Amino acid sequence: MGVFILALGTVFSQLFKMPVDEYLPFLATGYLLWFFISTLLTEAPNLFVENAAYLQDLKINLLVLLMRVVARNVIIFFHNIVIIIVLYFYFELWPGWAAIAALPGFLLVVANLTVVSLTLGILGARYRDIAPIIQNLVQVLFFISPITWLPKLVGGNSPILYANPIAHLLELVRSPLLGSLPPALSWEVAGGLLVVNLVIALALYVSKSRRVVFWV
Amino acid sequence: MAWIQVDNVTLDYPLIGMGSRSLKNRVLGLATGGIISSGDRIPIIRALSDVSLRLQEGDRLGLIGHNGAGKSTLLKVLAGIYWPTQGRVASQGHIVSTLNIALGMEGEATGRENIYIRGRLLGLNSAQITQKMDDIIAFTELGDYIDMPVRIYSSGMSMRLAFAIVTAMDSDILLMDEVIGTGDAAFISKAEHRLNEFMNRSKILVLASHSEDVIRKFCAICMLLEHSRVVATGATAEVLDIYRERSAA
Repeated sequence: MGVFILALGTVFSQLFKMPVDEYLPFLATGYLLWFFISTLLTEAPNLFVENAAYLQDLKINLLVLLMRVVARNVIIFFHNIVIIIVLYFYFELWPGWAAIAALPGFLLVVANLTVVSLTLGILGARYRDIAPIIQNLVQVLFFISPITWLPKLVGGNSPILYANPIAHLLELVRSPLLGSLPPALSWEVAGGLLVVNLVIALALYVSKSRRVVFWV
Repeated sequence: MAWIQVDNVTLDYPLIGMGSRSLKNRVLGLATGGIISSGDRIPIIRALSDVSLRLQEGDRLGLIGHNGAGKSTLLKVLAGIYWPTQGRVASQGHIVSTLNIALGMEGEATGRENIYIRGRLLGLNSAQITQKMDDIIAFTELGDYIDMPVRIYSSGMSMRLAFAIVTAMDSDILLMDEVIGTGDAAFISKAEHRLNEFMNRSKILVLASHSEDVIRKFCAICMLLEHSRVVATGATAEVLDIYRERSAA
């Protein structure tokens, strides 16, 4: 991951004609969070299928398996955060107290991804083509979200940004790590998403969790 | 007090084939009014029909029947893995099932770590596992291997470890699908002894097996299943007679 960020960072900073010490931290923070989001999204549809042995031989709650995969990815995220710390030191950056806001932001991202994963896990057990569909979708999201390119390039009010939930999730963690507070709109969108996702996930969980063992 | 009560349980098992596995086909089917639909309805297998059963402390029940009669399915219903389509299952007491004793073994983790993982999956907390640790390690005779990754174990060694962990459990209700066993000749009698102790320690035992000898040895009462239905319940000797008669016929 470090190599990816470094290589892309040096080349793209020249493409965008930006100083490396501005572009590289932007790319690193954004990509780190994207890596977390995309891994979870890709793993989620196969979550219960891959753990079929547990479901079929043990009385185990679906949520235990869900929390296992979420915990694993959160741990990986915090491992990778070393890259950002190295960049802080190398470019002598200091995000200031705003960085603390990244923590509640990250929690909101994790909460969102957790409930989405539950939905995808249950659906993915029933319909096996969800996994490849999500895989393709994740790739599309990577290119249409401001991860490698800067939001200011399309202008602040472009629908490309405000209609893309991923852009808001990125903003919640990236802005604080780069020293500014995320816009209120991002908080609202992420909170609203959580409520909607939670309702969908709960409805599926309540009605279908006992059927999953027959599907996997 | 440990008990199990099963009232008129029916379990339908949906068999989802390739055609009904695809969301894309499903959506296309809707959009085209079913012209490009995969068509076939999901077949449903009735795995148990109208099974009732009541067990109290001290009961040793044997389940007997041909392949596909519903023995394992009934065990899974008792374990809470399958929810019955109709009817009711209730039980009290800590349930241990030995359906797949090697479940959850991590190849990269050491034997000791695997004891923790398996113990947690079987419903113990860390303190209880620590307390049983020495007994488990002593039984496996793995010696220094216990601190090495399980992936380098021979199949016999990992079987022994899995066996030792599961038989260290204290259960109120023990569900077994065939008698578990392990090992080379020298180990077998030791394993058998431990298994007997483990089974006797449990307040209720439900054992599914094809072997009449095994059933006779461990179970006082017996239930004969045939094509998802209960054919006979009663004293082991009588039910086994019926089983033999029906098999011969």
